[in-house]
Amino acid sequence: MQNQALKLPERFINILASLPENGMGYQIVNVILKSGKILHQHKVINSEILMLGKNENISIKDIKKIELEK
Amino acid sequence: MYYKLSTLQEKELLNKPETGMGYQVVEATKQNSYTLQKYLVLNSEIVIEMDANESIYIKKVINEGTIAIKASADFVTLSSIYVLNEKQFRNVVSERKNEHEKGAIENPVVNADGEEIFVRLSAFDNDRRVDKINKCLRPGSFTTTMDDYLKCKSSNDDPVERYALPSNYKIQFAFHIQPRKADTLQRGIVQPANEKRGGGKEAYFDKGTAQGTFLKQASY
Repeated sequence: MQNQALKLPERFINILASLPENGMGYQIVNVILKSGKILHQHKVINSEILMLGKNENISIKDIKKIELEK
Repeated sequence: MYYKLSTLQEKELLNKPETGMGYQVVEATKQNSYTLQKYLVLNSEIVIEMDANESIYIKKVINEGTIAIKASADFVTLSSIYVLNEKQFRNVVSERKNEHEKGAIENPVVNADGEEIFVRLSAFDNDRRVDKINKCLRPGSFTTTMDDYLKCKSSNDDPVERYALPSNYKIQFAFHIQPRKADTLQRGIVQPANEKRGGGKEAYFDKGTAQGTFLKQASY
């Protein structure tokens, strides 16, 4: 399913690196977009690579916030 | 995660026995995957991955109803379907209840012994969880144990499958960590996740490790 990846800028990396992992080397996050849409249960690898689904064509400028899935 | 079946596969499941009243527990592979996984099939129409999070989705089905769940679910195609009988399913459940089979975060916090070495596998030279300045592991980080790492290597197992990693980036580095006696951790078994089988040992360091505990970075 996941066949795209987005390299995150340092401002997101620094936040994610301070938050706990869900498994070795990855975190499960919600990506809140500026449009108000939320992408649930996405994986971030090494706090820096956001994995996207095949139809999720977003860029860094579309992202408002990234937070851990609760 | 939950899915729905095509009408054709609903009929296929209907022609197979139930595990219990109104449900089937099956072992099957998903399309484009060779890994056998367990799924809970409700009413022969809704498929829930049995990855230790299934109770969340069962509650969701109960609360929202099957029609709403099916409307929001993606289709899944199952192959090599084998339905577990009630006794086999009970064995699965009892296996899960064993403390030694749970994931690390479900197990109690213990102290390190100051001698054991843990290994963090990574595809990244700049693994963000390893603080190379203070030579330690950052809070909230996972590793495996040295014995499991060596077992993975010597048996030529795939670390991506063994540690249920979400991406297929090639593991290239092994970061060796030797926590102090004052450092705390939780031990467990990697649960099936990310369409990977898991089964390796894992250790979770909620508070990270003390300065000077990162020993070396080796090639995998």
